[in-house]
Amino acid sequence: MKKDTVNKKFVFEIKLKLKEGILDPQGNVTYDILKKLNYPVEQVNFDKSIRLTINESNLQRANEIAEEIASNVLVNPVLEYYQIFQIQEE
Amino acid sequence: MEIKAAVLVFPGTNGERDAYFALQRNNFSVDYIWHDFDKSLEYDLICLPGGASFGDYLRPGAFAKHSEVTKSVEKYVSKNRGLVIGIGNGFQVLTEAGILPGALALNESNSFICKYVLVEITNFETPFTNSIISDEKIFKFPIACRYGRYEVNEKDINENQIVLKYVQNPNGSYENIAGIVNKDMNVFGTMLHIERAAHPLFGYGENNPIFESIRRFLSRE
Repeated sequence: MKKDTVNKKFVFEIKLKLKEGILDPQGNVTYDILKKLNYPVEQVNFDKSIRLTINESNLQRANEIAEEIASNVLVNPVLEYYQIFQIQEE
Repeated sequence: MEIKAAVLVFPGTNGERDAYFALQRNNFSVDYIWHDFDKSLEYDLICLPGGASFGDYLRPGAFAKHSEVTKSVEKYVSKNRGLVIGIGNGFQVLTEAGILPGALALNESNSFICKYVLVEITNFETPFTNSIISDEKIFKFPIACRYGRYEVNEKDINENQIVLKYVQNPNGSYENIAGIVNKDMNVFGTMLHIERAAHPLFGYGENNPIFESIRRFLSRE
């Protein structure tokens, strides 16, 4: 049986967003300024974005690892939720 | 009887000497424990001090939960070996690790707040408060943090877990909560720098009410 070799890189972007109802002070101040400048904005949120490059043999496995990192290490489930986007494959 | 306390030190912790000083003044025998300590914690009290563990990167306390010593603290708590207190960043570590409920978010004002605040003790039936010898319910303590706004889902905390409430909410904390305990009441967390309230030079008595209560509780056992 041919063994999978780790010869690919997968780049993911993990976005951490504040849950509904959690105050976003930076977003609120930015919103106030944008309103003052007459921009038609309804809401401003400061999310966090983390880019991960994962060495793996296939996308499915890389995806699982990204998911595990996001849920076990990066997110605080009391305040935030996360979204994972695959942005590159080499 | 000698009461042994451990002050945990993570890379970036900076409140360990204040905690050491305060505990020593309140008659604890104190050791520092580095964050890679993975053995059983043979102490009566574990103190997670203030500071900025792992540079406060990602979120304050987020990376310290992966240190070996934090796993040792989890075991210590589940065996009910002794008491645990988390001050400032220590509180953040305990919530990030899930040892205490809730989380500490960016202050409502988005700024670092360093000042004295008044707090009311709302539960005197915990080891951290049941031996306070004072008729007072209101105490003054300093806070110094940017991520001090306590957030929690209502279902995750019981009324009797709330130990301290701000008289005037400085940072937008849920229900004015300033300090909590876990359900088993052997872990206490607060953003108040109780360890900086341990010397007459700072306008405090010889003993700190909370450390004194802890010491009395532990000496009785």
